[in-house]
Amino acid sequence: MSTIHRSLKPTHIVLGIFFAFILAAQPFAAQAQSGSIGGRPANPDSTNARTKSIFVKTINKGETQKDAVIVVNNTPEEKTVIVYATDSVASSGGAFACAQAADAPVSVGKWTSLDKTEVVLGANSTEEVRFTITAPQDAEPGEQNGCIVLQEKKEDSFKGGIALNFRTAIRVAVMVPGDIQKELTLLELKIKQQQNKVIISPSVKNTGSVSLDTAIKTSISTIIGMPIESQESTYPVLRDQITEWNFEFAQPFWGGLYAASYQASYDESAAFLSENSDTKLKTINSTPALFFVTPHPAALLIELAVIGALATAIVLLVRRRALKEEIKKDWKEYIVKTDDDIQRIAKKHQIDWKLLAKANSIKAPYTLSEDQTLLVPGKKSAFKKRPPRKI
Amino acid sequence: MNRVLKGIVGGLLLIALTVGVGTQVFAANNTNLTQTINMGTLVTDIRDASRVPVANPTFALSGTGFSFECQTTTGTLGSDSQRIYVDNPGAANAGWTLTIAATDGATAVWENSGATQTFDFNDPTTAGCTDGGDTDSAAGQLTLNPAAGTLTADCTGCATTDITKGTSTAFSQGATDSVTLLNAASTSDDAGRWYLTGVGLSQTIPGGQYVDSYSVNLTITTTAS
Repeated sequence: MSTIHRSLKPTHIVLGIFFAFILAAQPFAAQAQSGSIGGRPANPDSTNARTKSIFVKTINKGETQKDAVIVVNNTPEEKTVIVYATDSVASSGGAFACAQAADAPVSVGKWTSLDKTEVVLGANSTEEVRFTITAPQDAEPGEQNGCIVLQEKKEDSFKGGIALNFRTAIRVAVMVPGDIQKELTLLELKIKQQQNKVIISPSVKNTGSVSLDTAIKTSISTIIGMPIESQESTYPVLRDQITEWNFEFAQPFWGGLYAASYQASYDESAAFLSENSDTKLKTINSTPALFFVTPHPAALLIELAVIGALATAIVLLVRRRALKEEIKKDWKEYIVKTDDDIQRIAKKHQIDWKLLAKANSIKAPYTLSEDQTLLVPGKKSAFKKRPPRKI
Repeated sequence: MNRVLKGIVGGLLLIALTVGVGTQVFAANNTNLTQTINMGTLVTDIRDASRVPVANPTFALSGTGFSFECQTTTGTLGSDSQRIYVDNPGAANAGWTLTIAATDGATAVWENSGATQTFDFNDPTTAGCTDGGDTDSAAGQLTLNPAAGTLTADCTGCATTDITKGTSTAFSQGATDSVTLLNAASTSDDAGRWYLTGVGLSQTIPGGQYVDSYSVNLTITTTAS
């Protein structure tokens, strides 16, 4: 055995392996237990998958319904969680948001009464908090929205700069039966180029009395209608709100003029936030809007080279046609003599010898035969060289 | 060598016993193993690049000197060491939103320690340079630009598809009290983990604002919609 092996006893090796395993296992344990607090509906409706994520209620005026929220602590520490109800508010762009605890509720937040507003949860534990929602007698028919909010209780302290708090909320959608209207209007389509992207921002307004789960399809096509790319997503559009989205598309490589359009589709049937087999889909299409995209620098170089080559070819073609026209009109016959060569004849008739050869379809080595007939320019030919001016 | 092998085997047995404390296995003719994975909850917080939550996260705008003129400072919400995370472990199956608003509501202001000096975050009058007809007597306006940020999917098999970033928006009392950071469609991944960095911040500070360090409390909310 070597000197190194003699200094390590078998028990040392075994213990080393054991402790190495224990130390290596610690980060895995920590990652498996990291988490936060949150909540979910306690009693989802098996016929409506949406109720696994949000509360969906239909409540007549003056009536009360009960439900509960499961408050979850996924952290390895005890947490105090505050639970409260708020109204919903529209965030910028029409997205769904919840009012702050400091804002006095006037709608669903006010209709909701919780059994508890503070819950102390041990590590990795849950607790059910029951609540009731009572629609007042003067509730407006249609959909009203609120939130059940869960937030860790923390003391505020001065920190300087922007201090952040975090909370999780669950939408509470309440339908008060009555005359329900579903109506969506397309508004404007904004288009902006930003770095290597084209941002297309459609907007719609919900003028009905309930929110609409709306499929928005945004498309880019060529100006002759050939599709290039489209994106489609489904978002809730809240009642009385203007909602706008930003869809990012890759900048077309070649640049140029393109058309953007969008389409909004929603279910016109009576179902309220549920999966409905009797869907009546209504689709509204926007008129296409043209926009210009600057080409990628490499594309610009290629386009300029192609344009240059085309321009050169056109100029050459025009000159060739002009030459043919003139030959037809003004050129006369010339009989080649014994000592003539192409350059001597060209000089005699004040024309470039290469042009003379081209007009007579003479190729290299430009050899002429005695008594060969050539066409040479007349006195007034535009192709004659002008003698230099004498000053 | 035999002693070495015996030692290794003994050590492995010791490891197996340590890991398996509390677990008993009974031999049976028909044993069924079951595993239930419960749905988690939608959460948002700030974590570092190792996904460890950051306690008491704050974001500072660039420092500036006293000026008699209205001025603008800038900053960034969300960095690689303070990422704005959203986890959706199947909890929101028809989309979610991530929004930010003042914790104390539309009447909140930037305050120094002791609240003896303030300036506003949501007064649009002359782009925040003068006090308007809102409920406080302070000028100032905070603008967020989520569109300038970067959204990254941080899980195997999930993507940022069908999650849009909000537009550059200034707070305006009574008109814009909440700014959208992210809006996830119902067609976005039901189970996913994402983080947002690089949201642009811009604060207008009115001229003559008292020299001090100021703070404002904002709340980031993720809502299953």
